[in-house]
Amino acid sequence: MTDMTDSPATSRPMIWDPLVRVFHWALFLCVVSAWLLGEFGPDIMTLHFWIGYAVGGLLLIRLLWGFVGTRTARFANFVTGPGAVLRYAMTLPARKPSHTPGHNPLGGWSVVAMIGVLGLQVVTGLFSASVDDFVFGPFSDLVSEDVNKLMLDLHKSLAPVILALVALHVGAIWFYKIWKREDLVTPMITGRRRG
Amino acid sequence: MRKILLALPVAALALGTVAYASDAKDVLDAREAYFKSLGKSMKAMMGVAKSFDAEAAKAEAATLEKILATDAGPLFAPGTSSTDFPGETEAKASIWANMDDFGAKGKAMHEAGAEVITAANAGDAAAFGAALQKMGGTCKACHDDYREEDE
Repeated sequence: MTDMTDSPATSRPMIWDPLVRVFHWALFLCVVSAWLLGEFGPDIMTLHFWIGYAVGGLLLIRLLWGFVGTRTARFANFVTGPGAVLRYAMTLPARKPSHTPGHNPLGGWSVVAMIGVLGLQVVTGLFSASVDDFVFGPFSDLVSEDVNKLMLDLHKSLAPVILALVALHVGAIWFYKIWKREDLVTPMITGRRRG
Repeated sequence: MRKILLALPVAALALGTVAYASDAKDVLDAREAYFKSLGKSMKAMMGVAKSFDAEAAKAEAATLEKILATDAGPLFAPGTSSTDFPGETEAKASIWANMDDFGAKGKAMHEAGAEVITAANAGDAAAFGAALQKMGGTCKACHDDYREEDE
């Protein structure tokens, strides 16, 4: 705990604040368990619903934090234009760490994509229903049965999209680890780069 | 004797039972009608469960009891899978390859259905809701394994 105050801390600045880190790992656990429960879970889907609400809550907190949070958490600091993305993409082949203090321009868009798709997944889930499977989302009564079906179709189609985004995310971390010799996992746990 | 044997199918048609359905297409139609009526009954009971009414619950339970009294065996006569009739039925061929498991899932549905009927006749709202959820779960359990995803 002493390294919070002594010199190594100043040479290794905080990249991810505690809220971002707790959000990240809580979201990871919730998304994995929601997917597992959706695919293989009990036929009465109450638990899948509750975890879905948790995902929704986490996303709302992160959205808010994206405006009022710490420097690396704010959207304004990592959502960049195509020029910056392209320029960053050109540096990818170089076999050295990027040492971006936060989300790099490519990763920033990956964050936006994940939040967007997961948000869509929560909303479609809330309005989904299947009479045949006797599963009814909490807001399914508010719309017609045709809309319930459409929402459920979308909800089911988005699941592999989410898996693809997760695979891309994990793949990128491996790429940085092996090709660029940069450890991105430690900062998401401790908040700081390994010194 | 011969006369009686000849008369049987005619009587069956007149009664409209599915047990003597003469060919595969009739089986498909009867099967669809059976599950549509079951779905309709489930939906009606769901409405009853939301704002429980003892009389309505009893009435719906009587309907369910009639549907569940149907012998569903003939509805799954061999040669009536979605492989035999693509686009006309969602019953996967794996049903016939796993008839024991399929039968067990059907039995689970019937048992949960019996609980629903008991709870409805007892006027027990909480038990009715729980049994209905359970029965709904048995629908999904079977659909997950043996029903084609409709696109």
